[in-house]
Amino acid sequence: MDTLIAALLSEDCLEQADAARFLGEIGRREAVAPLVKYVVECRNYAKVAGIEALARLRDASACPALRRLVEWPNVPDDWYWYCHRSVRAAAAVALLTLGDETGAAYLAELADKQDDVFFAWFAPAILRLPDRPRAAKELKGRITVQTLSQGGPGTTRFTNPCTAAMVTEALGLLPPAEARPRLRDMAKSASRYVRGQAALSLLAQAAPDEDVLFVKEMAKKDLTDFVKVKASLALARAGKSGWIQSIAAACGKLRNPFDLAVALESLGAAGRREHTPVVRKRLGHSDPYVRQAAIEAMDRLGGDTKAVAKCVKDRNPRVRLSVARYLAVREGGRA
Amino acid sequence: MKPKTPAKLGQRRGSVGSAADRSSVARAGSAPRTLLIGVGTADISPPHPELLTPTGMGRRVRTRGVLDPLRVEAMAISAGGELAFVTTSDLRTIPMEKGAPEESGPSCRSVSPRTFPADGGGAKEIQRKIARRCGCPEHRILLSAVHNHCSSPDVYDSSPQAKAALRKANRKILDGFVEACAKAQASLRPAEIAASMVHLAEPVGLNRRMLLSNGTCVNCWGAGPMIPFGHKAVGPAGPNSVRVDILAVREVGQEAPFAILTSYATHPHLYELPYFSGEFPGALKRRMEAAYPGAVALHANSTGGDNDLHDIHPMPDYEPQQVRWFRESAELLGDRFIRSVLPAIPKAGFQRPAELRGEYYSSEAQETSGSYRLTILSAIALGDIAFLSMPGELFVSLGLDLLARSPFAHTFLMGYNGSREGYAPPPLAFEQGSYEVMRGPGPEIDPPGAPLGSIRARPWTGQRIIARSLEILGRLKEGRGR
Repeated sequence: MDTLIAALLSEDCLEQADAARFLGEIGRREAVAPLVKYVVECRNYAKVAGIEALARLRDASACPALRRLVEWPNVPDDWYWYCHRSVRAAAAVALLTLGDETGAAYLAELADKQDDVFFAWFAPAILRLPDRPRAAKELKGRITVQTLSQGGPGTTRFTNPCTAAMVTEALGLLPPAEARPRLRDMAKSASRYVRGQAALSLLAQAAPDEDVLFVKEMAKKDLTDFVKVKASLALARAGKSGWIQSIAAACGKLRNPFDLAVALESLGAAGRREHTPVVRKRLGHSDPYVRQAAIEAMDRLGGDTKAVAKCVKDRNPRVRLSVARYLAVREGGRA
Repeated sequence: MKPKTPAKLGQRRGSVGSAADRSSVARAGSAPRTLLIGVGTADISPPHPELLTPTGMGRRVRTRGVLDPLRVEAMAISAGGELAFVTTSDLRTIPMEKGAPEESGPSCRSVSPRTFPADGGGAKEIQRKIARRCGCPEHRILLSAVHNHCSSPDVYDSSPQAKAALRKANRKILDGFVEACAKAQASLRPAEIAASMVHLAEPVGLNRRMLLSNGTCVNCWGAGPMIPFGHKAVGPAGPNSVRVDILAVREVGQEAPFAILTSYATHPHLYELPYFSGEFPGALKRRMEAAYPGAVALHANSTGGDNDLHDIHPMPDYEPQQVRWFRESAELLGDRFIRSVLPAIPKAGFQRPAELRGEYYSSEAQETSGSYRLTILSAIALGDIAFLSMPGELFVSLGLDLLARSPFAHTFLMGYNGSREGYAPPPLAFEQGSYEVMRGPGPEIDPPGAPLGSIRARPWTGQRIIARSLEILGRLKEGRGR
């Protein structure tokens, strides 16, 4: 925990963000005060990870700081882009998670403006909010297939794969009958990353056989490994047998480090201990993100502390933080 | 090789017949066959900055003035009886020609082709005027800009005063190119050249596309990436720019160079300050010239479409602090750059190539009617060193690929030459998203009269530019250039 808390003061914004995320995942109250200090004082947009961590920790003592961030996010104003507004929106969403409606008006303002911060970047997070307080339910009600499919003047919501993928994620949280046609469209995107998310979203809730077959085709025939892995994960999550094994089998063949990391994450998400050897083998991979993914997957699979502890002196500081998180969970138990 | 003393240099210089040679080259048409190089600069700071606005990033307040002067630099090269010019400038890009409509918006404003320059048009006009003044073939005049977003003026508003100020500013830019080239030609002297390459030890340009765990990319050019809930940052989506190519030019036998050209890939924009400024490139040139008094520093931006200077962010909130931060950041980055480059400036291995060859490619004939899309490649070769004027906004990985595959021992990439292709990333970037590709790939056939700012690369554009570049470099290497 001390290592992670200290990393909130790192000069590297990604190390800060990783540490914040891990502190949120570990879930201990001692992280609240350092996280509050981080999100208040840090002037980097990546501190959204710290705001999300505070939402996860569900400690109302963070509310005053979050309220202030909604008004004054203490980050440079990138006015034409989305980061400044996103920090404010993140704080507002975190407040709603904590039952505080203070930031709801700001989110409504973004919705009125058809802003991608509301309808793309934070749409999945808003849809995942509980229905209380009431403002949360009202805001969720503004996110529909129709409103997601629109956009403000000069919109790039669907031409830009990063916003398109967020919208696709949000569609998976809407009533399937309404979202399905749009998700089928997104599954034909030229971007493999949008297609991969579409596969997950199509089967995120109870899906008709037709959609299951559609995603099976994606898992078998898409030209990219990324989509094959995501579609296989979608099928595994939907309770279809054999698909997680196909991801495990693919791990030995994937050449692209990012695709491999995604496959390892998927194995971790499936949580089947039999895949521990496949994941353990990648703890020494040359790519640091693969090593991070392997450590996090090891945690979800039940762990092999001896193997993970060997990475404690990894040359990459972010990998060392992943190890610190793993050990913190094991030493202190998850809250 | 032991450097010659200044006394010996004087004798040797005389033996090359420099005085007569220089005057003959200045008259053009009867250039000597030995290598002669000269350099010149000209100020291109806008005369009425308060009526204008720098382009590249939107500004929310009226321009206050010129923070530090803008400049154009020219290197005249004569060898084997042939003359060529290599130019660098503090502009955002070299404009191509007037008449193309623009698309409005804070990020995609081009450099006023409506009005630049009043009597003709951009790159072609610059080349024509230099050619006329200096007696050099137009295609041997290599243009480039550093992609400075505190430069390349446009009107602040639609007032007649602002329009007049823009005409004056653009006239000054055009005249500046001609003046710098004329000065360079007038200062031609027997010279020798050597090239080297160094990797920066400290960060300057960093990749500005942050890969998220869902495989897409987000902007990361200011105060880091925004990471949406439920996701995590993977890391930069491509390489950071660390490679600097260095050319040193010195008088024959002299120890210190009188011209130094550096080529490095990164967007130089620190922030949309309401001032004109030479930005980071201006700072590095000042530092280089302080290290070599009397020398001229030329600096080119090569393929920095996906790199930026965000390692010095976040910046302060209020303008007086921002101005100070801006100045300090430009100097800090200039200092980091120079600290790696100075020790790598060649001290040996100088050569005097006796032949200068050139190659030129324009996609003009292949573009669809009414399209403003254009790729121009213009290269010259001196021995085992090549200079390539090319489009801007290619991603760093593509530039590194080109440099690795170039048949020349040293290749200097000089981007933003007036070509119009927009951002040219590798194909995968179109699937990842983020600013550079946010409007998706361009159509296979451009609609006639489409706004200039709407021109977007296709997924294969970057690779095609690299392939064409390698073709013309290959022809130059084989001695087939003209």
